[in-house]
Amino acid sequence: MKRLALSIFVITASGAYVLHQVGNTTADDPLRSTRPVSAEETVGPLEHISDRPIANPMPLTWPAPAEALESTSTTLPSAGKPDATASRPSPIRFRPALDTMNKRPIPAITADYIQTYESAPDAAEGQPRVVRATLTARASRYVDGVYTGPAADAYYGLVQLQAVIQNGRLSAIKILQYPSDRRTSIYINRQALPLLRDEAVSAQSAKVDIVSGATLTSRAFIRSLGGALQQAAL
Amino acid sequence: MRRTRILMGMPITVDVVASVDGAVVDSVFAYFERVDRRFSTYIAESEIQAINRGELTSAQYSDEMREVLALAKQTKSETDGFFDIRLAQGPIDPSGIVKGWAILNAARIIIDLGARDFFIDAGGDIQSSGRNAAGSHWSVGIRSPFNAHEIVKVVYPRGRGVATSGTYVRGQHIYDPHAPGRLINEIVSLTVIGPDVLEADRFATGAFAMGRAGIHFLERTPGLEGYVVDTSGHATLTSGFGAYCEP
Repeated sequence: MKRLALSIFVITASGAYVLHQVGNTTADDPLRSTRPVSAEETVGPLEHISDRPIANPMPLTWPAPAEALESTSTTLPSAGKPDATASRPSPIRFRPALDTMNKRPIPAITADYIQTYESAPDAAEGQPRVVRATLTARASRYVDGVYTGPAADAYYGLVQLQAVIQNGRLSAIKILQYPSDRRTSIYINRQALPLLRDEAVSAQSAKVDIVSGATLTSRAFIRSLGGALQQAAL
Repeated sequence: MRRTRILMGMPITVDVVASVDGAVVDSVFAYFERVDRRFSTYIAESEIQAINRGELTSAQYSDEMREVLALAKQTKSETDGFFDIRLAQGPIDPSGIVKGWAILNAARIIIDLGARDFFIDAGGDIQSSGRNAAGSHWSVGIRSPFNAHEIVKVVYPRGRGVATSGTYVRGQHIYDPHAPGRLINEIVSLTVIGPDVLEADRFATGAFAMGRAGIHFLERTPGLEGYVVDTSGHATLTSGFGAYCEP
């Protein structure tokens, strides 16, 4: 019984690991953790990207692992929700796949894009959550193009990514291969994971010619004007 | 010359730099009045209300009405149904298209009259052209969704259109047509920079209705850049938005 429980845990944890590789938020990010791979293995163009670490401590942000794990629990033979800390992945090792090591940029015409969810979409609210990815690539010595990484073993199948460099910056990641057969709760569609910049809003002191904002109703406008005129009259 | 009037239920400001008499500005306001008489759902005699009462067959629609309805249909398709002028109760209200469309047409009127440096601001949706009186690019501040007296971003659209959709000021005035009961409460303000104000406006409305997914829609749609603010005060920018923040 103990053994059964253990194997269930192992299955659950490794399933979580697969997702973690896609849903990781920290320095364990697959793109950053390819350095342990030996030299002859790292000939793919993606390595070229990874070799130049991005100065920003938050390279890529995908959905929070704990929430992402919940979304997979329905498809796993789970005896309970996997423990996020127990499933902390070791750095992913890219291993060369026979015909997937493109050394030259290939045109990005067709590829399966992936949009991940922070939690399982429910019927009433089937909209994908924003994957708020952040990347401030200061090193802009990348050469523009589309680069395909090697297919990497992710326990349940191969994961292969494609990086799009625009204006010397990593602008999007495309998922070329993904072990989707067992991840039915993960909705895969043809959408990109763009790397959008994120910032806190703060009041600007600049003087501007025009202001853009949501529409004022005439009623609100007139009330406000009335209030202003009232003050002006006193 | 800069003038503001309240038309179509909102303040409309027209600023034509080199214009000394009011002729250019007057013809713009006259145009907006004409548009309002045709498209206002608040005016019983308007064409749109006649349509909603079933008094007109589609063969009797004006050319302007046909153009606006075609644009609405196109926008609905381009936004996967998120932009929809048909209200839950049945009548159609194309004001989500009319504003941007009217601003763009008004800008064409000004250009036809020979002016190059101007802007039109109708309820926060803006078409600018050329430069301001100081010879600089027009600057547009994005109003804070949390404080109407503050701006949180300055952009220089350089002839492109700017439109902002939000839940503030009017309260929840955009809803998800796929789930009419669901309030869009994760994001509070979405600004779109597009090729012109019509494009910016129709996609600002459509993308806003998508909630958090809207910014991704903008990212993958060529020609559109977006700036979205969520309830926690975080802004997310499309990858090309920053280029418009440089003076």
